[in-house]
Amino acid sequence: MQGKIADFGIPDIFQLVSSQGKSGSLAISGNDRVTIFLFSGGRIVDVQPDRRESKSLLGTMLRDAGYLTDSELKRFLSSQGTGGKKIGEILVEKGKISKEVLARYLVLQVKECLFDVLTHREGEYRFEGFAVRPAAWGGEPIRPDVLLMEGMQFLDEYPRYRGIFPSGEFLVARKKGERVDPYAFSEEERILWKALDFSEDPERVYRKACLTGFEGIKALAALLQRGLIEVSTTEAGDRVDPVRRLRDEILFRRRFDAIRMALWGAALAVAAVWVYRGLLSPGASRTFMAWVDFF
Amino acid sequence: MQAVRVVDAAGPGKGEALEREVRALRRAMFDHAILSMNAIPDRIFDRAAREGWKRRSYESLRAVVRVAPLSVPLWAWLAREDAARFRLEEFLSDMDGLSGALRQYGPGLLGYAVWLVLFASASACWFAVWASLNLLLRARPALTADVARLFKGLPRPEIFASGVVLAGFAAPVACGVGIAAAAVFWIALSTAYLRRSELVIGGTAILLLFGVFLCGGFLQAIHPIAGKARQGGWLGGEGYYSRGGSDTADAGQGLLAGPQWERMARSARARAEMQGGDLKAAESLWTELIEEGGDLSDAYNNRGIVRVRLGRTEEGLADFEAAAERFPAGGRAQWNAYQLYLQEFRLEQAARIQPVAWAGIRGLVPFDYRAEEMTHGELVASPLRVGDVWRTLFTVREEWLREARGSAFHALYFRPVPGGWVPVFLATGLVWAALWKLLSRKIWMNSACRSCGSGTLVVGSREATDICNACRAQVGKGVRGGEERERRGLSILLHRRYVRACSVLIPGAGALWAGKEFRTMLYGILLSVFAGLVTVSWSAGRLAGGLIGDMQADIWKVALGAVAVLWLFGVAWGWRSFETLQLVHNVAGERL
Repeated sequence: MQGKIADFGIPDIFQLVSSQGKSGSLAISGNDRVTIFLFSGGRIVDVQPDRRESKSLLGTMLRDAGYLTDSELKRFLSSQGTGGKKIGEILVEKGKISKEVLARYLVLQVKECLFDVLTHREGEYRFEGFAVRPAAWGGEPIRPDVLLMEGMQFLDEYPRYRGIFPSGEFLVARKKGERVDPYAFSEEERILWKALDFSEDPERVYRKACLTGFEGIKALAALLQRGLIEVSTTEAGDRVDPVRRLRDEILFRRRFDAIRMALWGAALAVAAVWVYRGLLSPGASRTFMAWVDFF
Repeated sequence: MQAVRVVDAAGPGKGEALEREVRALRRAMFDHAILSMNAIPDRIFDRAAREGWKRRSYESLRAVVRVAPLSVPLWAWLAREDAARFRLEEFLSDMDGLSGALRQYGPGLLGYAVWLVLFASASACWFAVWASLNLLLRARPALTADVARLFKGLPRPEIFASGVVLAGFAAPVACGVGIAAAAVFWIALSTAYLRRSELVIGGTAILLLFGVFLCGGFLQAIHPIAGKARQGGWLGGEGYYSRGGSDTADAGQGLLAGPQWERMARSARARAEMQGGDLKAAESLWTELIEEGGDLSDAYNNRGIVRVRLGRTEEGLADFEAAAERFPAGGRAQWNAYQLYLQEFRLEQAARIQPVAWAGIRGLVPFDYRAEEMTHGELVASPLRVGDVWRTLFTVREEWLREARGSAFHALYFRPVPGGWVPVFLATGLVWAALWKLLSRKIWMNSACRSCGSGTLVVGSREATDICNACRAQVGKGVRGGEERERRGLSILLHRRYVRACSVLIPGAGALWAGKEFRTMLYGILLSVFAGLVTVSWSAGRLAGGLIGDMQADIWKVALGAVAVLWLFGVAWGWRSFETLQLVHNVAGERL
């Protein structure tokens, strides 16, 4: 089965595959990218985003969420090439993440990819039927109809929420000194509030909270309306690579700690001289020699 | 002059000449009622050191024991040499002499007491320094994090906070504050972040400093009775305190406290007058003491000698009889009475008391009196008895507190706190510690995990332990990878480096971080005891000279060696204890 998106809408294609309980791969191309969804019994079991869309790659998502450093990701990707295993499987095997974390991020990846393809107005689709066996390390298969409901909502509401924030890239941070009751938040707000400690970059905050961009910006908008966060704009050149920033911070802390220890060492050396003057110097000795006079 | 001849006659292979001079000196000493010339052994030893026969001076010093039986340093030095040469019999005999000198020579016993007090004070000061530095370094990470909360509006608040905490540590040193005052300040800075048993260490240090303050008062009160033998006063004899006739009011009054002290000071003065030849003044002083009552046998005996020398033999004899009646086992008064009976040809009475007199005179350790050699009418004076003083010596008195305000210890250790405010200052330190411990149970404060060093805001009433959740769960660098893992790994690394550095600089610090507070305190006490021994011996070893200088030089070298060994042990023990703690919590070694 194949055709043009303009003739047959993506929601209809997903519903058709789902309602008929088909197994196989659905490749959707558009915007110069190809995204492949794998179905098993009408449910989505995996997705393969286009390699050029790095934001939706599982390794990038986990790196942005702080589970991996850039160098670790590169190392695991290179080992992936030799063993033929998928990155999620390798990470679970190496103990970098648990199966539960992997399952949550796989769902997130599917959601992000689906929301992305829903925005396509032009392009092609191609479904090929074959038996698909879900991977043992993967999560539960996902019902497309549930995701489509969220996707429709995303298409309707995303522009409104995005309009609240400055156009272009921006930063978010908790307001200092604000007292909050996390139990008054929705679940997404609570998760996002906690993740705001992690970074000022909203994309990284969403990843840390394991929320899609749509869920994230919706929760951010709610927190902004409550007056709990501050938003600041940033120029294109201002953004710092998170890995570089982490490296710089580690370097700073090491240097700062070394300087601090050196200063304390010097202060203790001065204190040692001061103790000498109090307990061993000739002046102190005269006091401690008082007993000699008696003999 | 005869004493100078004795010193000149000493030397290797000069046994007979020295013995001759010693006998002559003994006769001269009896003429002046001098019991011991404590300066002689030191002069001989100094000469031996100067001329290079110090290690061969044993025989000479052994020979002058008869003219310096009250010299505590001489007996101690001989005992040490006997022990080094495995001479058991002589060693036991010298130990008898040493204990006899301590019992019968007042300043010697008091010097021993003063040595104990100074040793305890020095040890207490070392303990306070060790404890306060250890506790401050233990509290520093959490304290810095809390101070950083004050600068949260600034970029990099930890830099400002670190500067403030370092300044808090360095300020007392830079201002030249006394050790005790600074130690209390540092302990007060740390208290909010310490465990209960660590607070015991801090509280003990403050209490010990109060003891040091009182010791200052004790020394100030006792010092007027210090001897003069080591200050070059040859004719000071045993070295009793004497300032001449102009300060009668000072002797035994004012600075000294209690009737025993006053009586002792005045007895010492009367003995000094006897030896100095001012017989009228001596008789007057002994008469005053006798009129006041108390233990009078020695006073009667000494007044009897003074009166005999003044030519009033009958009155002197009456005094000897009165002394013998009050202390029949004394020996001296019986001997003196026996001598006078012989001189007066009252042979019947002399024959009656002869056995008691001969036996008594032989039993006067450390004096080596031999009745058969004493054929020139020698009269034996009574030394300063100290038994009753010793009993009351360490009774805490109000005078100690009063005198402590102007003592040398106050100026040395408690400046700039005014003397009258020192007890209040120390009490405030204790109350402050207790108050902050209570407050930390109610208000949010930072706590540094002892194992990994991560800081957390906690309320003491909710969070009883100071090991973080991640360490208690033994998750190593954390369940999450990436940035979080990197940060935790760095925190663990820096914390380990900090604790190791603390362990090297302040031994035992690692064990404190590992939660071994009481064992660390015991270690600190042991270290401080040896450091205190270094302080007390170091000064005497360098400056005293003579026998004391020689012995103390050996002691401070041994004590310094012990301090070095203990220091190394403390470093290794602290290092290992902390390593074990980290291994238990899976933040060190292969499991990380």
